Amino acid sequence: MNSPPAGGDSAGEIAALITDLHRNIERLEHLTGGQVDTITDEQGRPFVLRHAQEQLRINDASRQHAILNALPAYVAMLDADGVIVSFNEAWQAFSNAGAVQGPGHAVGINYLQLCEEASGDGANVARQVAGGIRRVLSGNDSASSFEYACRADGVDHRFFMTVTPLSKTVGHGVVVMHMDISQRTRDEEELQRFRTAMDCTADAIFLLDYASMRFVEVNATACSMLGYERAELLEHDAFNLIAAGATELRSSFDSLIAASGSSQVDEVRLICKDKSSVIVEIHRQALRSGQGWIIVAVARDISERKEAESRLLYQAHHDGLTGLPNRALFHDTLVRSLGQAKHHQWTLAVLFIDLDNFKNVNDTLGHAIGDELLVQLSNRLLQCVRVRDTVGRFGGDEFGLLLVLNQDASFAAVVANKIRSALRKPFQLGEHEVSITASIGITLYPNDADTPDELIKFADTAMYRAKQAGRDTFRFFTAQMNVDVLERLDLEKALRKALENKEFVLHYQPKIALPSGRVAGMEALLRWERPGFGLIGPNLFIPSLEETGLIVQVGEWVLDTACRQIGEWLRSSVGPMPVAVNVAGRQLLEGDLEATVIAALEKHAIPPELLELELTESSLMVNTERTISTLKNVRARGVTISIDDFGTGYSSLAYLRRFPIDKLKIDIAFIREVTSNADDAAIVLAIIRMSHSLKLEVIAEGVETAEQLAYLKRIHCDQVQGYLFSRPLAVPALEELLRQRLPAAPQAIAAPCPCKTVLLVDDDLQVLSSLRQLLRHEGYHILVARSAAEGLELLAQHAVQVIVCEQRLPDARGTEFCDGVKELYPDTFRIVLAGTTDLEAIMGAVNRGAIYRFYTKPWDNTELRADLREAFRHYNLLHGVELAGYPGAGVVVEGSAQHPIPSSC
Amino acid sequence: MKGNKTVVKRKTYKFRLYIAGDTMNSVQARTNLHALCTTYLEGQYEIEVVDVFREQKRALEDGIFMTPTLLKLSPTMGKVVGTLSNAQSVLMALGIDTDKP
Repeated sequence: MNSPPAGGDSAGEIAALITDLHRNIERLEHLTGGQVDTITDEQGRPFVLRHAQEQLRINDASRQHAILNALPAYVAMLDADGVIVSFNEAWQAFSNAGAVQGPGHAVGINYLQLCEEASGDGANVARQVAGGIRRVLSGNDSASSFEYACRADGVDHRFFMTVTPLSKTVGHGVVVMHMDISQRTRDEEELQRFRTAMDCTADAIFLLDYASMRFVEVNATACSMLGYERAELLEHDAFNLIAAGATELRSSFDSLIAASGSSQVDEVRLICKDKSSVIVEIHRQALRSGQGWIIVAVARDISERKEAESRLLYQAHHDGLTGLPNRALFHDTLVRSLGQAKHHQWTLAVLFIDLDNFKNVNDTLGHAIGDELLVQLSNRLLQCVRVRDTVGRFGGDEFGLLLVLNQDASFAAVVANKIRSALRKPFQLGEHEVSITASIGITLYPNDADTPDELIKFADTAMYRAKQAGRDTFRFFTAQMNVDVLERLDLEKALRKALENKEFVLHYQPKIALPSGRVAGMEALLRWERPGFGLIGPNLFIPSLEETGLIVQVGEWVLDTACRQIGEWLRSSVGPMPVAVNVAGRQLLEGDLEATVIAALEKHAIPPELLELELTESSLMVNTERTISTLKNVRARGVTISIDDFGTGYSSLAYLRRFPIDKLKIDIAFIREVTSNADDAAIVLAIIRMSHSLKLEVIAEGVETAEQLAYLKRIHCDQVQGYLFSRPLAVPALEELLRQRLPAAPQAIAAPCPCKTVLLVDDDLQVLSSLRQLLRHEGYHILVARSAAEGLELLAQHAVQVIVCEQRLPDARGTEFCDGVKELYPDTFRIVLAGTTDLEAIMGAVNRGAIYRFYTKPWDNTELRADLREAFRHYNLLHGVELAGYPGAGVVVEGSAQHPIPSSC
Repeated sequence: MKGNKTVVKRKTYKFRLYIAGDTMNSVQARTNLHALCTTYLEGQYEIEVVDVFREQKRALEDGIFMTPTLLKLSPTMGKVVGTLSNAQSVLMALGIDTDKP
């Protein structure tokens, strides 16, 4: 069909082919009974038969008509000249309604021209329409639309008109559509009226979509109440505005929906844009809206009313004159505090304060002056307490104080005294100057009572006792408290004055170097010569110094005094004498230790090497970094740093290595039983060995017996200190001692001459005597102990090479004793005498290497004697020494138990 | 088939109907085929409708040169051209035996 137009010859042929084609198609339709729509060519392209083509065309046109007719608008199609070519059914009806065109706008009418030439009522609008059509037809506008009003059938209408091009190419005509939007316009106007009405109410109105929790409508009051623009508020969800939890809000909305139709009233706090809040009374109701729910909330600002209410409440609970809580509120506060105190194990104090002779002020100067006094007084009272405490006025000249104490009841007395001194300053009342005092009664929870009424009543009683005691004072309800607290307050007061009154003194206790026995230095110890009390021991006042913080000043004094003493000795016959000074934790924390030390060293011109600082483990554990740097700086100058009371602070040597230390002082607790308690002995030994491997010196304090000294010396303790040498002495006595030389040290420290020594441990006197007899002529120094503890004591004092021990001792088994001895004196040869039933324990000990030999009873004397000789020979070989025979052979040294050995043996 | 319903597995008839858009005969064929199937082959048929305006190649592949044409693909092959307005003759032409008259 696409071939070029044919010439004359082929025209006939074409006509014939067309005839054929028509005939063939007719034939085909006939054959198929008209039931076929298309036939398909060899390429699969379907050819629609004429019959079906018509059908399709009808279908298509009717569809388009249906669509056009279904539109709720008046649609017409104009050609390039503005002539109507087609329109929908509504268009025909529109002819009567629209003022833009008169009747008869059928196909063929030039609508454009009609509008341009319109006159009368709707002329302006008609020309507007014409202008829009022309602009689109000419291609100046891609489309045109506007709204216009007109009056038809006595009704005001509003139309929306659009002009759109028929195709993208210019000049193909346009589609004109008029839509009647009268109803929509009326709706909008109605909504606007509604909005205006809403905006005029003084209440805030919120419409909230339940599903999204977003506001869908808010009025002007709502915006101004919360400080938002309407648009901002509509972006918010409700959770941001209500000071309640999201779940709480949801559930309250759920219950609204459940009770659909009825409204709920509530008081809520709304949050404004500036984060302030406003309390509102809010009426809420749920309204069904389509599938969802709208929550309508009407809120009224009741902040002012609330304020008035709370003002009333305040007035009901506060004293009008002073503004302090009245008795009722004080009582309530006390009830609440008691609840908390029970829970937290606090101590509470109730102070009942009554002015002395207040009636005189009222009577002589008048009530106005009396009231002024009470007002000024209440201000002074408030300044005497902390924020968490409560001051109340019970009425008249009676006041109450509620104090929360941590533990210490004496703080109540401190506050009572503070109040007394606060009143001491005269009150300026107009032209009068008035002095007044108060009597104060104190009760304590839980000590005195645990109900508010009793606490107040007892405080009142205690206040009367204070009055009886002569006024201007305080009394505790419990008599003993008065004594204790007063003593304590006196002590603190006296301590505060002790420094300026020069009541503190330093005593010195010598430290002895081992093994030389020379005086290696002194420890300076603080003592207080309290007037009227004599010399006060450190336990009685140093804790108070630390609690009150006075220790910082006193510590400075101690350092200064000790350095002065070092200087004095240095320039006297005593010569260089190292002195150790104790430093408290608070000095490290609150004082400037470094500056104090440097100042003292320079002031007294002494070499830093002579000063030693002793710190406890616990004081090092606080504020570690600062402590380390302080100590490093001090030590860098040459001052020695040592750890006091080592072993009690739960710190490991490894931890202590972080600190710059030179020396450890083993706590007295380990020294006390070091010769009788194998555990303590082992701990001390371990401390010394580890310290030495860490290049630390070790000093033992509290050395009181020669046995302790001997043991410590044997295990190479570097220094010792204790009553065995000297108690702490005042300077004159100490200097006397230094001139003489120390009494205990030289003998105790003198090395015992090495000779063959056997320790016999048994509580059976028969056995002991027979053993003694057996060894009589062997030339041994024989020691006898009746128990394991005695045995350890003797071992501490003497160099023993061989031990013969009974398995069944009164305080231990022989094998256990040997286990301990093996740890402490590994060089000894240990022999156990046992019964046949003890074999198991014996075998274990042998395998552990705790014992060298054992004999089951009865043993062979010759064999035992031979074994002992063998043991000594071994010892000599092992240690390369030749032990002498004991000069007083046969003399027996006994342990401390005073049981004489029967002379018959 | 008669009396053997419980034993013999029910056949599924698969049809492919070639149509040409919403031309009159094609619409009729579609309507008739649906009516025929729901009446005689309840629950045991599948119909695929192919519009030759959209899928020209498929008509070519199946050798369809006229629409509407009904192809029976299963259980045996069969072909009927036309609006399928006479149900009995269609069933017969496709060799479908029915329980119902």
